[in-house]
Formats: sequence, structure tokens, C-alpha cells
Amino acid sequence: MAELIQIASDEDRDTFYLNMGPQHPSTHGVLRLRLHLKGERILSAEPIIGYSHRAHEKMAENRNYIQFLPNPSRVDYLSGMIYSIGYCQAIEKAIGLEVPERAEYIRVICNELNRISSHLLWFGTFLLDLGGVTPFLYCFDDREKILDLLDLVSGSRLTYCYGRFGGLVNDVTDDFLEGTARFCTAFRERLREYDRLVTQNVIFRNRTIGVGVMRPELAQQFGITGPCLRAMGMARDVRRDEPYGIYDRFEFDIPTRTASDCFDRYLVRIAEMEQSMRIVEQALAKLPDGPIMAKKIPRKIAPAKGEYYFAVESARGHFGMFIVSDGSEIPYRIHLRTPSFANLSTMRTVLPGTLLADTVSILGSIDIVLPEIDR
Amino acid sequence: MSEASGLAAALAGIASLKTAEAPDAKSGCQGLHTVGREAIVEVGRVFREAGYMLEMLTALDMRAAEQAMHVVYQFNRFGAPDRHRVRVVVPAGEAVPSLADLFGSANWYEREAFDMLGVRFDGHPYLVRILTEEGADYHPLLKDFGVAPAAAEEAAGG
Amino acid sequence: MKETPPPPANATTEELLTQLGPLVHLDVLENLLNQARARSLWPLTFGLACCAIEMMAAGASRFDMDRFGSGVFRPSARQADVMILAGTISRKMGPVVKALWDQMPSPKWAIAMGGCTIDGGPFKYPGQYAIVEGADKIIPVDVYIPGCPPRPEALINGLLMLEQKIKAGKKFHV
Repeated sequence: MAELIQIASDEDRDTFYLNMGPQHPSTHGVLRLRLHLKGERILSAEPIIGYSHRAHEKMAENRNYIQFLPNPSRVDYLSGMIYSIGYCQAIEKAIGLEVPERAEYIRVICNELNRISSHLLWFGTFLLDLGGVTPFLYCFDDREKILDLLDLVSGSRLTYCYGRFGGLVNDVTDDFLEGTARFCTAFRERLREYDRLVTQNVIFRNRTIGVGVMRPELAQQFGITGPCLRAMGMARDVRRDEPYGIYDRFEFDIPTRTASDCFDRYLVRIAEMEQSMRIVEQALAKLPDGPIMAKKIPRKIAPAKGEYYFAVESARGHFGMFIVSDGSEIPYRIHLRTPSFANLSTMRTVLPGTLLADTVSILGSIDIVLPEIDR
Repeated sequence: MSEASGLAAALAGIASLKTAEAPDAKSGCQGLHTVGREAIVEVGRVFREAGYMLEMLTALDMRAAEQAMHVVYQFNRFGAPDRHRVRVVVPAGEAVPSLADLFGSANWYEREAFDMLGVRFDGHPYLVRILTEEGADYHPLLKDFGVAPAAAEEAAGG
Repeated sequence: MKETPPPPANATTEELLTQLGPLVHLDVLENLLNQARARSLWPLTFGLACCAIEMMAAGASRFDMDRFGSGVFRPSARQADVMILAGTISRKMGPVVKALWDQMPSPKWAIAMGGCTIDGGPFKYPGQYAIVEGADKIIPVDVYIPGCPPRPEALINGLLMLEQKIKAGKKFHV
């Protein structure tokens, strides 16, 4: 018996391993972290993923391009509209299908509304993680208004399948257009209210300012994208760098900050909601009449043999679709390059040295969606 | 512009690198290259020094046509896109040098490619499965894994 | 129910008791407890995928599950009564779900929310390697709520059905 007991050396007497997740209220789903701690200080951290792996990529190889249409919105269910329409745009580009003007504008409106709803949910859960319950109730109130609007046009609240190759499934109603305009007006006021409620809060500032700083060289090393990158001071946004759809016709700013801590990531997202509303209002003003589906849609969706890459800006960053076609109706391979996968992989570098309690704010601030990481 | 031409010159210095003719817009890439696997670390270093990030890494199962796996690396820079897709053809069952020392993101990407398609990466610090369940003994994205699409359709009654 | 006339002002205690019926009701204590259990179901804070967002929406401002006594989400399995399985259960997650279920004290109930937990839902196809096709392959399920994802109203309806089931007091998982 005696030889089984090893006496710990002085160095590792007060270090220990802590398992966090997969069931943990602040890991936003089923993330698991293996933390090596010395007291409250993190020595090393290893995210363990795959608890929500649903084989989207294998499913793509088992069905044709049209049958895969419901999947993208379930990859990242918080920005499902952006994913689902992005997939349509990727296929449209591959087969050279033109989309009517009106459909393009409606797509932009829905995408931006979806981006706001995603950021709102992040806002609520992030503050919930930090101990503030009230903002969660506030932002869900606003989020429900967006879901009502999107429900009106697409018929679902969360996992939209609104886009079709060559356009959209439904035209929008006047109720939707009026409701969207009303929402934008009301939401501006609400954003100011959130600002008063949260941004100046001392506890919130102490728990976020200077916490979870991502050093600038990480951006290139890990391919960080989205609000996390913009909080590093880089104004990179797929909507601006390689405009897809009709994003080049709108005026909007790319909000950036420089400190790259949790607080800056928070401010960037708040400013992005403001910019999304600007885009929505411009699109509402310019919305033309006309059809919402392209006239000639091939019965068989089969891109020519080759490899295609198409990227959109989701609420979390650069979402890329790498499609390999062998010329048939069934994809040879679809690889989804998802933003949170890269953003989360930085945690092995960012977490060591921080406090255990800060893990929660850092994880919250990078805004992860687990099924999008695990696919 | 000088940066891009510097990159082109550096890439031209790699013997086994073959650059395809200008790809069309549909491919979403500005440059398509094929390189021998022994030179991929060198290619990675060139891109890293030019300020590019490893945007995507995945593999393709081409065993049916060429008895080989393709490992696809995609590099991109910040700002206006300059996307380079570099392909390494590797005989099935053989390993590719790892880029994990050059790019932090390669660590997880390579683990994913190993998990999904069974491509091994030499020099990877921790090449274990990342997505599939513990104790899994399969590589799901291989074409001979699971049910063939036609048989699946039949089984689903379609 | 028949209206009983109010007792006369000068009624004796004996007369009053006769009119009110027996003061002591005899019943199984379990039934009384079940009434209490049904009205304060504490769910486990446990989201798996898309449905978890709708579960959160059901707990938030508009739908407010707390009206039915089931808005107290407990992060620890040891304090929870009901496990709402919201989302796809991957094979990697399966053993974790089972462990959580085993940690919950009896009596306990499970709600399978959404197509994935019923039979695999949209992710079911021949050759699927990654998911558990149906929560009932791991743990006993009391109420199934279809949808992809079900709307918050549907979840609340499911909870009310579970309440009825508990009040009926016929089934317990021990």
C-alpha cells in the first residue's frame, strides 16, 4: 500500500485539475474545459469539443444540394438566416444563377435582423454569466420582436430555411416592412437604455476591462475573425472586404476598438447592432418591387466539376463554405469553415495566467456556439 | 503590391510548387498551388512571413480516383482577400508534416482532419481525436465509411 | 357543487361540524406530495443545441415559464427535478446525459424536447455515426415535444402535461 501513495512535491502540492462542463451554465452549451489550476490562477487550459458533433459534413455527402438546405441554419442556430442564405448564395455563385433585386434586398434585411437578434442573445447570456439577470430579460423582450418579424416571413423562429437557390420562398408583407421600421425606431432608444444599464456599471467594468486580452499576433496565428478581431483594432469584415450579395451598395461603418479585452468585444458588438440597423433602414428605403425568384432555375442543381469557396460574415465572423463538386447532384464534399472553431482554439493561449472567475467572462465574450464548432 | 510580388517570388523559390493558371472567380481563390508534402512547411513559413493566416485546412478522400488523399490548405491575408489554396497529394496511409509550429490554428485543424479522414500529421504535438466520441475507431468522412448514398436512398424508401 | 346554506348564527359546535363534513381527510401522503411536486418543477440548466435557445426563450420575459412554477433553473443536477433534453444528443454526450440523470434525486422526470431527442429528427439517416437517435435509448422519458425546434408555447404545454402526469401519480422512476 505504501508504495502506491506518492508524496506530492512542494511544487505541485497546491495545483490541481478542474473539469468544467460539458454541463455547465456558462459554457453556452456543451463545451468542456480541462483546467490546470494553482489556487485561482489558471496554469493551462484545454477545451474539449465534439459534444455536439452532428455530422453535418457527412450528411452533405449523402444527399443532394437541395436536401442539404435545412442543415446550414442548424449549424449555427443563432445566425441561422445568415448561414442558410449564405449557403444559397454559395450555390448560386457556383452554378451562375442571378437573383432578382427585390430578393437581394430582403435577404439583406433578414440577415441584419438576424445579426441583431444573435448579438442580443449574446448580450443577455454574457451578462447572465457575469451575474446580471435583468439585462437578460430586457434583451429577450427585444429579441422576441425580431423573431416575430422573421417568423412572419419565414415561418420559423430559429432555424430558418427562408432562402432558395435563385431567391426566396415567400415575399414579405407590408406588416413585415412596417414592423421592421417600427422596430428600428424603438430599438435605438432601447440601445441607449442598455448603455445606461450596463456599460457604466462598475461591477461589469471591473469584470471585463483588461480581462482576457488577446495579443495582436494571435489574430494571424489563429485566424481570428468577427467581433473578436475587430476588438483588436482590425477593421476586417467580409461584408466590406469581399462584398457578397449587394452589400457593396450600403453605407455602414465597421466598429473597431483597440484594447482587445472583454469590454472592447462587448462595445464592438453593441456598435455593430447600431450599424446593422443602419443597413436595414437603407434597404427598407431602397426596396424595389419585382419578383423574388429567378425566372430560370435549373431542375438539377449540379455545379460543374471543381472546387468552390464562398464566405459570408456571420454574427461570429468569417463563415466559409468549401464545396467540392464532381459534377453530380450530390456534393463530393462540403467543408464548413466556422468562425468559432478558430476563435475558441485561442483559449489554450489566452486562458493561462487568468483567474478562474474570469474564464466565464472570457468565454462569454468570444460568443461561441457549440454546434457551430463541432458541426 | 510589392508584398504580393514578394510572396510570388518566395513561392517561386520552392522547387516542387506548381501554380495553376489564374483561377476563375467561382473558385473564390486568387491562387491555386500544388506542392510536394516535404515542402509544405516551407510554404507555410513563406505565407506566415508575408502576414497570411491559415484560414482553412481540410482533406479530401480521393482514394477512388488517385489512391491518394488531398490535404487542402487555404491561406488568406487580412484586408482585401488574397486567397491561396495549396494542395498536398499524399498516398493513402502516409503522413504529412504538421504546420502546428507555424500556425496556432493548425493544431485543431489538423486534429480535425485526422479525426474525420485519418490523415496523420508528423510533428503534431497532440494528434488525438477531436470531434468523434471517445474510443471511436473510424474516420467518418472517408468515402467507404457508412452507407453509400444510393443504398441510403433505398433504405430511406426514396 | 351544491351550495350549502350558511349555518345559523346560534348553531352549536356539533351542528357546525356535521355541516362542514369531516375535518380530517384521509389520503395517501404521496398524493399530497405529488400536488406540490407538480407545481414546482425545477428544471436542470442543460442545453444541448438549438432547442436550448427556445428553452431559454420560454424562461425569459415573454413566455415566462415561472408562471407555472417551473422557471427555477438549477445548474446542479442534485437540485433538479426535471431534465429538459433540449437538442441533439451526440454519442460523445450520451454518457454525460446518463451520468447527469443518475445524479438527479428521485422522483425525477425527463422531457424530450425536439425531433432530435425523439428519434434523431433531421439528423437521422442510414449510416449516421454521431448521434444517439432518441433520448429514450439512454434514459426514461415522460413527455415528448415534437418540433424542430418546438416553440416555447409547446414546451410550456409539455410541462403542463407533465404536471398532469405527476398529479395522476401513476408512474415514478426510482
